[in-house]
Amino acid sequence: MEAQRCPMCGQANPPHLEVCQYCQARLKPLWVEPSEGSGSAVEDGIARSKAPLEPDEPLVPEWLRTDRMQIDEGASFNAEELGQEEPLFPEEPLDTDDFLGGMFSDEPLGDQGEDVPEWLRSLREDSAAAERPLQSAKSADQDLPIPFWLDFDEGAAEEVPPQSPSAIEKVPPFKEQPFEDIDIDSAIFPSEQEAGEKLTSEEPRAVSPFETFEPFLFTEQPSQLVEDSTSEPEAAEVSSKEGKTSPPAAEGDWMSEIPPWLETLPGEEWMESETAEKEIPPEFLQGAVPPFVETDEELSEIEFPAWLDQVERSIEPELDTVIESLTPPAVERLTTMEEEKGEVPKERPEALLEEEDAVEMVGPLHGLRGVLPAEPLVAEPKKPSKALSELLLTDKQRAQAELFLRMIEEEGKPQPIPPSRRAKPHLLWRVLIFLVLFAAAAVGLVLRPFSSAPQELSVGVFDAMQAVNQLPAEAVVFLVVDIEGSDFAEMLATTNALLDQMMIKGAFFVVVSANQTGALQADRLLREVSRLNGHKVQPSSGWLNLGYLPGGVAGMQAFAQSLPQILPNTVDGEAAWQDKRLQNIRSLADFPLVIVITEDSTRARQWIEQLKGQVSEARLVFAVSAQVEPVLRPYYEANPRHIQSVLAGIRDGAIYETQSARPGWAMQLWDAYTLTALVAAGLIILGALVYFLIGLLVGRKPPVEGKTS
Amino acid sequence: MMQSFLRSPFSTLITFITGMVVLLGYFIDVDPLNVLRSRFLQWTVLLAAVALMLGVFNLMRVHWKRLKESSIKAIYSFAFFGGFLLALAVGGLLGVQHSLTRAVIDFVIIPIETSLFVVILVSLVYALTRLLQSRLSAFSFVFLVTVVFSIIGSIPLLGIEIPFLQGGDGILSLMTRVLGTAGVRGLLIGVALGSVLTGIRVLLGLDRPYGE
Amino acid sequence: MSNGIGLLIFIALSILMIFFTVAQRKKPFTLRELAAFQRLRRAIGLAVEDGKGIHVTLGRGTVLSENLASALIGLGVLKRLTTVALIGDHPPIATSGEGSLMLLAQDCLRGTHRRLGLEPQNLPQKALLAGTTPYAYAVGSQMELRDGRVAVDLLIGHFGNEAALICDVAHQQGNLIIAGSDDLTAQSVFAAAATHPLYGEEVYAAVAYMDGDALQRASLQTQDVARWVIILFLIIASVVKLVGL
Repeated sequence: MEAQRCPMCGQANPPHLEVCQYCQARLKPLWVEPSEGSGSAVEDGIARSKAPLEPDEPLVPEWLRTDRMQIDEGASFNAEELGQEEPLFPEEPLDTDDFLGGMFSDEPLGDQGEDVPEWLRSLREDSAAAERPLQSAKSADQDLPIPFWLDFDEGAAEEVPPQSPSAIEKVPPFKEQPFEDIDIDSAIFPSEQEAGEKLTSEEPRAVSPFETFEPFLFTEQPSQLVEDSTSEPEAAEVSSKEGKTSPPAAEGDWMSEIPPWLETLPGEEWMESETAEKEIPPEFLQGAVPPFVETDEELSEIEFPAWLDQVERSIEPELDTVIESLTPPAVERLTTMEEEKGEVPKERPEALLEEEDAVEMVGPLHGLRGVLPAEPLVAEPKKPSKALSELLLTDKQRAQAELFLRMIEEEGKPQPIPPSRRAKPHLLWRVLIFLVLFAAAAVGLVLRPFSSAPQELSVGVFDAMQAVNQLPAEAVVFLVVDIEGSDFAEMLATTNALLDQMMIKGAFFVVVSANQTGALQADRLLREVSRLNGHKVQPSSGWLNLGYLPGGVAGMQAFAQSLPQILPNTVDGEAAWQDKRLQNIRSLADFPLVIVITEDSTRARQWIEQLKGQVSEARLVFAVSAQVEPVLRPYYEANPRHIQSVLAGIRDGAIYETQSARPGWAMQLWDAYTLTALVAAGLIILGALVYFLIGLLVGRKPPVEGKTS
Repeated sequence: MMQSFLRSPFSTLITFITGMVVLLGYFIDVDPLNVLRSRFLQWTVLLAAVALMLGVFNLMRVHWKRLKESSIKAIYSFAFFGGFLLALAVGGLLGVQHSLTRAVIDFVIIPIETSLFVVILVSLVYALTRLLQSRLSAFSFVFLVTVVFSIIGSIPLLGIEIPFLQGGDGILSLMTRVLGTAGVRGLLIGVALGSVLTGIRVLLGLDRPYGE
Repeated sequence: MSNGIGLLIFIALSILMIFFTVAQRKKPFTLRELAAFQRLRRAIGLAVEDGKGIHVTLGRGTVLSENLASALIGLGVLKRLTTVALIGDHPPIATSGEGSLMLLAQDCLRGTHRRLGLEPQNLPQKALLAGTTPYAYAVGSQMELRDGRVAVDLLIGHFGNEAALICDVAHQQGNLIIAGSDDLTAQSVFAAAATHPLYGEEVYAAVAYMDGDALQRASLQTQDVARWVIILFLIIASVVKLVGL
């Protein structure tokens, strides 16, 4: 035989008992409605729920009778009145308004004209007091899990039977979320004020005796009885009603009692898979987890691993404290009494004393005496305690979990970019370098401590002097000036003597530049040379500025091949080649001397290569910065030469001035130049030694890789 | 349409033909080839000038955007537009020979660029002093010694030229001229080879560093 | 005579390169290790992880001169770097000192984005003309480095001594500086100021070290062969001249 479950306390009882051995509630109803269908429990349950029942049925309360009348009138019900809402349960018109009408109604439950039995009305006083902890836990109630059968989707709506008209009137149309507009907490658990109003209005609330939330955790229940109850018609009825009227008390409980008719509802697959996952451990866990057991004896025979014992020992003290904190007041009292060596409590609740002698007036327990009040102690509609969803953790586990959560949260947060470890710029050392060099230049320029001049005669200077000396008077000289502003001082010192000598001979300059600011620099260079050496050469009379020659090498080549076509005008817009001094000039070969002044080694090389073949080597002189000299020297020292001469830097300029006996700008800079160069060499030696020693003392660091290292 | 054309083999063919015309025109002295080569070069010069203008417009666009963003760089953009308008007004309207243009060159451009040159000097001296610490190797040591010798070899030591060490026939000058020139030649040969091979790759359409 | 030799050299190098390309596809040879590119590979990965940018300084080589060759190498490096850096959604910033080079850089970035199915954002700010004169270019490039969003600075192209200004700021920012140029002045500057200077023709090997393409390797191989030929020629010519033949 299979055990039967008490509809009041939920405990399993032997099948032969008619009264629950735990709560003395009747297990078997006094009146059983004859089944119209098959004898199966499911069909029986469905038939019972959808039976119209006679109006004069004595057990049916007034509110239920009214609803059934509305169902009968439901033939005239037009589903279109619902708008977009489709009828629920179209194929099986269950009478669900007994709970849906209450849940989905905006009206207070007490105003629905429900028939509350006398015994329950008297218990309202206690229930109102019991509402307080429920209200305090209201925030937690927001997370009330909706069972799968309530979590239907649109596709499953076709299988849902239609509601009664009363329910249709009260239930707001579903939107996207089935219970979006419903305050389930207030509907199921009325507030304290509402409870007080119900008590004062003397309208008893129609609470189903099965609308219970059992404190499942704190009761002992044989596990083998869980599945058996589904075979019993009564139990099936109970479970089906319980499933419809109240959320499940615990997952393992209500899921094991799912009647077959619920198996057709959506979520069946989920349930099955969930069950399968619970029953069959995965392969990798087999052997690692204890086998599933059915009885305590089997449980005692199992040898649990050592780690599990350790965990058990570690959590036992905490488990006690957690249970204490989670125990409802009544159970807490009972626990306290048990701790007092089983003494009978001296003070029992008066409500309990009264109810023990009270006679049931309505419901399946009608006429019984001494029925344990279900509502205040056992059947109080409340959710499972919050502790059910909490894990029991040791401090270490909790700390690790918190650490893990913190790590996850920090991963999600945008981290500020840490300040990069920049290489130390050694600002002080740089400032010191600048100050020392500046002081050396200033001393050399102002004091001129050495008053010396380069003694030797450079070969390049000698060749340049020869080229200038061979110039006829008032010759037209082609001048390429490719210098930047930063190199102007050096180039002025380098070319001062050269240009001065040519100005003395009345040379006329045709100036062109292959960089953007070169034309401006050329104009300034000639003016400065004229001013420094006392000439009165003016732009129009002394030189002709053709301006910027675009196109790089291609421009140089094209210009070298056809001067007038490429640059026909001066920078002032005048026709350049109409000048009478240029009447005989049509190509570069017509110039007696071509001088390239540049500080750019690439530009110097380009001019050499593009002027090759257009200008005789004997007429090509380069005045360049000292940094360009190594590049040009191969061309100058080649045999045969590619260029006539190279004047490189301040040194050659000073030599030229010395040799021409006209000290000028180069000689003024010479002392400053030598002193500064000497100081720079000293700084390099000193600094290199210091940094080298620092590197040895501190320890060699890897090469500076910057932020990425 | 235009993009597909540019991606098509026709673009590679055009590159090859124009490149070969200019190259062969340099090597082979034939009149039709020279004329075609000169025409291509003139077009190239014009396109280069247009590219420079486009570059200036791009520069203005970037700085205008930074000016609108009001970032910390906006002050530089403000200075850029100020300088640009000043140079355009003075150089473009008044001409190169005007006294105001000369003043801009003398008192703005030259001082700024000279100061930058001083910064280069300080930076190089600083970098050389840290060379042995940041990159200790035989090459660094040789490089440092060469730099110092080159400087000392090019100037008289406190006004006095040391015989056999300085001067045109001195050891330092010889080292600079012979070793330096030889090294420069070797480097230039390597650079020239690399340039030629890069040009061949592009000319034959084997390599296309730009585009897709 | 010299023109004919020049044409002969051109043809010989072309044939050699094509031959080596075919040979490379069959059996690639191993490149000698260059510390600069080993470091560059690691630094690029770290920069992408850090969300830092890469700054490619293309120099001021013009389309109309032979120094465009080094700029083309810079463009090739930019193209490869963009492909890698787009993983971190930080395409490189390319600054140039010449208008035509800026257009090529923009074309390079645009093409790489589209090849990856992306649409380039703020292209004028990613490939910009920093300045038209050397110092203006250097100062303009410095501005791209000063905000600390760049971790790697590659200077590959044609420069002068103004490259020292760029290297100085990059060093102050703690960037990895890999620099190479066809200009000897710039090379001497890089020897002192760059983290990893590339000397002589090493700059032309940059793409081969980043790509591993058969053509690039064949180009390097051709370069090596041609150099040995030149060395042999110089030695033989010197001996012949010394002997007096």
